[in-house]
Amino acid sequence: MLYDSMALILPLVSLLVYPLTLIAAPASLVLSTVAWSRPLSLVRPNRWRFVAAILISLTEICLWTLGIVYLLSGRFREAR
Amino acid sequence: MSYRKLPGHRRGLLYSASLWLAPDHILAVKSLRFREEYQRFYLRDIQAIVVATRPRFHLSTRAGAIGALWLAVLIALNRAPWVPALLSAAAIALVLAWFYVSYARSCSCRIYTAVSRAELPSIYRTWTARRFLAELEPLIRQVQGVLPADWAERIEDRPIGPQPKAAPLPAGGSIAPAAAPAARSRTPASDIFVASLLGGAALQFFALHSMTRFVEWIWYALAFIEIAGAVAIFVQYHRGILRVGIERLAIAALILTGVLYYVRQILAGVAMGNRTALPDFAMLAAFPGSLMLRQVNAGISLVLGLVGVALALIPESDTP
Repeated sequence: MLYDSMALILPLVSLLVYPLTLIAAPASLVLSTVAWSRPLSLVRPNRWRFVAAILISLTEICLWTLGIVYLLSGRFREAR
Repeated sequence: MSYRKLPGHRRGLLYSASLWLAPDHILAVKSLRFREEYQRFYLRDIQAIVVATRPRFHLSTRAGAIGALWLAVLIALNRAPWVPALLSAAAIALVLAWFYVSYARSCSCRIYTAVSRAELPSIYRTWTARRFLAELEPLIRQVQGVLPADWAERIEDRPIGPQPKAAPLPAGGSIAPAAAPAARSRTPASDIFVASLLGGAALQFFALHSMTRFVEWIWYALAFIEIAGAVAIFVQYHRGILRVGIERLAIAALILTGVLYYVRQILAGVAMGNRTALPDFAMLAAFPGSLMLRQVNAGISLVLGLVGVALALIPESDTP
C-alpha cells in the first residue's frame, strides 16, 4: 500500500465536500505519522508526499480551529 | 537499488503504468493509485519485444487537463464575441489530432521471456516505442551478445514466449475440449449503440438554435436507445461475446449521460426557480448555459461515436 499517496489525497479530495475535512485532516495527520517509516514505492523513494500531507492537514485543522473559535466568541459576545 | 525512468508513461485517472531501468533488469510498474504492482524482466532473459501498430483510444490525465483548461477558458471568456468560434476551432483541431494519433500513431507492446509474455501498457504510442527500443536494445546486446548475420533464418524454427502445455487426455478418451469462440469487436447491439451516439450528436449540432418539443422527444428516444444499447453491451461483454473496448465506451457514454442529466436539472432549477419537477424545455433552451451544455454534449457524443466506429473497424485479431 502507498500510504504516502493515501495521506496526501485524503485531505485534498475531502475539500470537494468540505465538512469532511473535519475528519479527513486529522486522519491524514495520524496516517502520515504512523506510516512515516513504512516502505515506500520502489521507484520514487522519497517522503515529500507525507510532508505535503502533514502541511495541508495542519492548515485545514488550523482553519477549522479558527472558524470554531470565531463562532464561539461571537456567540459569547451576543450572550453578554 | 536506484531506478532510471524509461520512455513512456500511461497516466489514467486511477490507473497508471511506467517502466524503469536497473543495471540488470527492467521494472514494469502498474499503479492503482494506492497500490503498485511490480514485474521484473532481467535483460539476460528477454527473448523478444514485439511492437504492433493498432488504435489505442486512451484519454490520459494530460488530455483531461487540456479539456479542463479549454472548459475554463470557455466559461471565463464566454461573453467575448470571438471566443466561441476560436474555441470551437481549437476543440475540433484537438479532437482530430487526438483521433489521428490514437488511430494511426499508436501501438501495443509486449515483452517475451521463456516463461512469461507481458503487455507493457506504458508503451502505447509509436514514437515512445521507438525511443524505448533505442534505449533498451544496446543494453540487451551488451548482456546477451550480438546476433549473427543470419539471425532471421535461424530464429524461424525457434519458438518465443511461454510454450503451451499439452493438455492431459481424459482417461479412456481422446476428445479435445472445444475452444471458446473469440470475442467480437461489434454486434448488432453495439452498432445500434454507436449509431445512437452519432445520431444524438448530429441532432444536437443541427438543432442547437432550434430546440423544439419534437426535437426534444427525439433526443429522449435516442438517449433511451443509447442506455438500452449500453445494457445489452454489458450483458454481451459479460458473456464473452464482445471485447473490452466497446464496453468501456458504453461506461463512458453512461457517465456522460448521468453527468449531463444532473447538470441539466441544476440549470433547470436555476432557470425556473424550482417551480416544477419537470424542466420546461423552452425556458431551459433560453438559459445562457444551456447552449454551451448542448455544445459540450454534442462534441463529446461525436467523439464517443467516432471512437465506437473505430473500435468496430479494428480487425478482430488485433484487439485483446
